[in-house]
Amino acid sequence: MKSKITAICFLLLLFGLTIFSIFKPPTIFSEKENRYLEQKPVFSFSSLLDGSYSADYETYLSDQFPGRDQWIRIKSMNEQLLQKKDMNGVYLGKDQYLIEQPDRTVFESSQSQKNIDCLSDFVQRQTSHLGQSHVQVMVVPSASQILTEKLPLFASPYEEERFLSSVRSSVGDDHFIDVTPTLSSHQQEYIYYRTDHHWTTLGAFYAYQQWANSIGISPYAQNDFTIKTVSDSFYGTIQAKVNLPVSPDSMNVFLPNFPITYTVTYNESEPAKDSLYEWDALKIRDKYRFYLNGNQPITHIQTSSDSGRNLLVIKDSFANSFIPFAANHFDQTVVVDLRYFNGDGQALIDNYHITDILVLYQASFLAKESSVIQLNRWQ
Amino acid sequence: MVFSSLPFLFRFLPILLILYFLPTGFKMFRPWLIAWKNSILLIGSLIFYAWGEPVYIVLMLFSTLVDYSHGMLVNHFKNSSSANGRKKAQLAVLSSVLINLFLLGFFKYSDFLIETINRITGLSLFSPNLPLPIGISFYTFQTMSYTIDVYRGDAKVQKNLIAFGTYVTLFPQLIAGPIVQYKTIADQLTDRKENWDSFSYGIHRFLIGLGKKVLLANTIGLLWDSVRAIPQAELTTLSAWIGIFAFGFQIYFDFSGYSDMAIGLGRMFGFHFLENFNYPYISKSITEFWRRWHISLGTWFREYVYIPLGGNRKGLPLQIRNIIIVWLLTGIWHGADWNFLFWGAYFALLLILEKGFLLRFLSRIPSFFQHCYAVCAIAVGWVIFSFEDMEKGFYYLSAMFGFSDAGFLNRESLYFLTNYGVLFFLLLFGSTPFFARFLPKLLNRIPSGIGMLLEVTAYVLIFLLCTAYLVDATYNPFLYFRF
Repeated sequence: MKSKITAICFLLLLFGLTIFSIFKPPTIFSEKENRYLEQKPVFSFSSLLDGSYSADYETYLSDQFPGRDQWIRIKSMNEQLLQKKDMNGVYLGKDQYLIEQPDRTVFESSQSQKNIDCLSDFVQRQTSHLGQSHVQVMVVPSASQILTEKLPLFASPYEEERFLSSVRSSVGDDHFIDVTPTLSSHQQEYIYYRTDHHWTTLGAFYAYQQWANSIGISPYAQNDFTIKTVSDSFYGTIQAKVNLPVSPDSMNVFLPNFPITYTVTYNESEPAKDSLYEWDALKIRDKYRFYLNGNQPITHIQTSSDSGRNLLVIKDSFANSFIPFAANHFDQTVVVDLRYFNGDGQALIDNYHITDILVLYQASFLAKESSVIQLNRWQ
Repeated sequence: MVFSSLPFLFRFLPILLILYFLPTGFKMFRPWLIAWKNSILLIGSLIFYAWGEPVYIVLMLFSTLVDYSHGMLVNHFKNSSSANGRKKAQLAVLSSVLINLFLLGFFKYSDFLIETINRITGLSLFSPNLPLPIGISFYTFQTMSYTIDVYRGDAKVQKNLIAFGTYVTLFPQLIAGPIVQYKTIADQLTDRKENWDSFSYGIHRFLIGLGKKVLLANTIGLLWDSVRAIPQAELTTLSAWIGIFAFGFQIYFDFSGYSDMAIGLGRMFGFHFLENFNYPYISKSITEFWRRWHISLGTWFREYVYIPLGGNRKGLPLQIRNIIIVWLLTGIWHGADWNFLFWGAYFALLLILEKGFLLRFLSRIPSFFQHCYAVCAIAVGWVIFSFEDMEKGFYYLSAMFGFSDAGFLNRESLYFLTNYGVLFFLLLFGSTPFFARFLPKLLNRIPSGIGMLLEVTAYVLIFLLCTAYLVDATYNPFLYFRF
C-alpha cells in the first residue's frame, strides 16, 4: 500500500497550479528573455485541424506558466546538482562565465554556405566600385572560441575556425579582418560579457584598432578616451537561458577626449539626436540597447570629422558597440541591419557617397541569418 | 497529446478527473455510473488523440466500428446452429484481421513498399507520403486480438459500443502502449471499482514514469543527439560507446516511463494493465532480454503468430522458420524501413544461435561475462535500430569496434563523461532492481513517520522537477512516431 498523503499532495499541486495558470493575467513581454511571450491562441477549426492550435497552445502554456522564471531556475539548479557543465546550450564556465555553445548544425547548414557565397559576390561587386581595401568583412568568433581558459574541463566546442576560414577564402584574404588572434591575445581581459553573448566595449575596441589599421586609418588609443562604467547590473540573454544566480556584468562606455560631435538619425526620419548612446536603456533589462538604440533598420551618423570618407556598416548587434569607435573617422556613417531593412541598398551607397564598407557579423549569425542573401539585391 | 506535456498535466488530466469522479458520491447516479465513466473516458480519449492528430480520429472511429461489428459477427456465427457457422466465424475473423492489417499497411508501410518497388524496378510510382497516425500500431494490434479472442472463446463479445469504444481509444495506453489485450480488461470495462488505495498507487506509478521520461530519458537523449551529430571521421571509439549507451538508456527510460504512466493512469481509473518491462538490461542473454523488454508486444506475437504457426512443437526446422517470421515482423513493426527489418533479423539470428548452442555455452562462463555479452549484443542492436541510413549505422559500428580515424578518445569524449557521469550512474542503478529492493528495506529500518515523510517528499519533488523541466521544454521528443 502506498501512502495517500502523496496522492493528496499531488492532487493539491495539480489542481492548484491548474487554477493558478488559468487565472494568472497574461504577460506580454518577457524582459528577461527579451522576447514577446506567446498569448492564448484563438480557437478555430482550421487551426485545430492543421495542428497549429495545439502547438501554439503548448507554447502559450509554457510561456505563461505561473512562476516561469523560477521553474527554469529550479531546472538549472537540478542540472548543476547532477554536475552538468552545460545546459540549454550554455556552458557553465569558470569565474561565473556563462558561455554559449556554438551549434554545429548552424555552421554546417546550407544557409551558411549560401550566405558565404552571397557575401563574397557582394564583396567582389563593391570592390570593383570602391577599390581594394575599401570593402572589409569582419566575422567575430563567439566567446567559446576565445575564452578557452574559462570553459569547463575538457569542453570542446565546435571550432568556428572552420567557418571563418571558409569565409576568409571566399571573400579573399585582403578583405577579411581576422580578429581571432587579436581577441585571443587579450583573453585575460574583460572582452566578452559573462552573462551575454556580445563582446564588451573593450573587445570591440581591440577589433576596431585592427580594422582601422587594415584600411589605412590610424586608430585612437585607449587613453584618447575616458572609460566610464555606465551600469553594473547588466544581465544578458545567456543568463536568461539558464537563470542561474550569477553576479551581473558591468557595461562601459568610451567617451572621446578629442573634440567631436555627432548627429544621429534613426530610420531617416526620427528626430535627430546628438549622442550615440541611449541612456534610458540602462534602466531596462535589455541594457545592450544602450549602444545605438539597439537594432535599428537604418542609422545615419553625421560627425564633425572632416575626412572626406563615408562608411557603410552592414551588421548584426555585435557592431552596436563597435560603431561608436569607427564613426569618429568618417564624415558620415550609415548603419544597416539587414534583418529589418527593406530599402534599396545600392541607392544608399550612391546617395551617401559611400567610400568604405564594413560587413560585421558574429560568426553564428552570419551562418544562420537568412536575411544576408538580400545582399544579392544590392547591385 | 503526450503525458509529458503541460496541456496534459494542467488541463486535460484535472478536468478529466473532475468529470469522471463527479457523480461517484451520489447514490441516485449509481445505475448509470459505469455508462457515465465510460462515456467520459471515451470522449476524453478522443480529445486526447485529436489534440495532435485531429484528422485521424476518423480512422480510430472506423477501426472501433469495424471491430465492434466483426466481434458481433464472429459471436453470432460461432453460436449459430447452422452447419458452416464455424467457417463463417473464421471468415469474419479473417475479414477483421485483413481490414486492420490493411489500415496498418496503408498508413504505415505504403511509402516504404512503393519506394522499394520503385528502386527495384526503376518505376516511379506515386508515393502518398502520409504522416503516420500516432499509435496505429498499438491500437490495430489491440483490436485484432479482440476478434481473435472472441473466436477462440478467450473473451466474451462486447455488445456495448461505448464500452468497446472505451477499450479501443483508452488514452493511457493509446499512443505508446502497452498493448493491452481485450481479455485483460474485459471485465473491468463493465465493472470496475476505483478506490483510494488503487488511485494512490496509480499516482505513485504515474509520477515514477513521468520522472523517468522527463528527468532521465530527455536529459540523456541530449547526449545521444550530440554524439549522433558528430561526423564519421571525428567519432572516437569511446564517444561511440558513450553515445549508444545514452541511446539505450534514453529509449528504455522513455518507453518504460510511458508504460509506467499508462499503468498508473489506468489504475487511477480502475484498470489493471499488465507489466510491460522487467529490468531488461540486467539480462544475461538475448532470449532473456526479450522476455523482459516490451513484454506486451512479445506476448502478442507469441499468442497470435508464433504459436498458431506451430511454435516449437513441430521440429527444429519449423521452429527456426517461426522464429525468423516473428522477428522479422517484430522488426518491421517498429518502423517501415530496412534497418528495422534488419534489426529484427539480427535478433532472430541471435535467438537461434542461443537456442542452438550459445545459451549452453553462456551458462558455463561467469555471469559477469554473460552480462557483457548481452549488453554488447543489445548495444549493437540499438545502433541498427537508430540509424535509418544503414551505411551510417555501419560506420558507427566500426567506430565502436576500434576502426575509427579519430582514435580511441579525445577531449570531447572525456567531456561527455564528466558532463553526464552522475546521470549515467543514476541511470545504471535505475535500470536494475536496486532501488525497488533496497529502498523499502531502508524505509523499514527508520521510524515509519520519517520514512513516510521522506517518501512523500521524494514524490512531490519528482513532480515539481518534472514541471520545471516541462516549463523549460527545449527538448521533449516523442520517440514512437514510427511505431
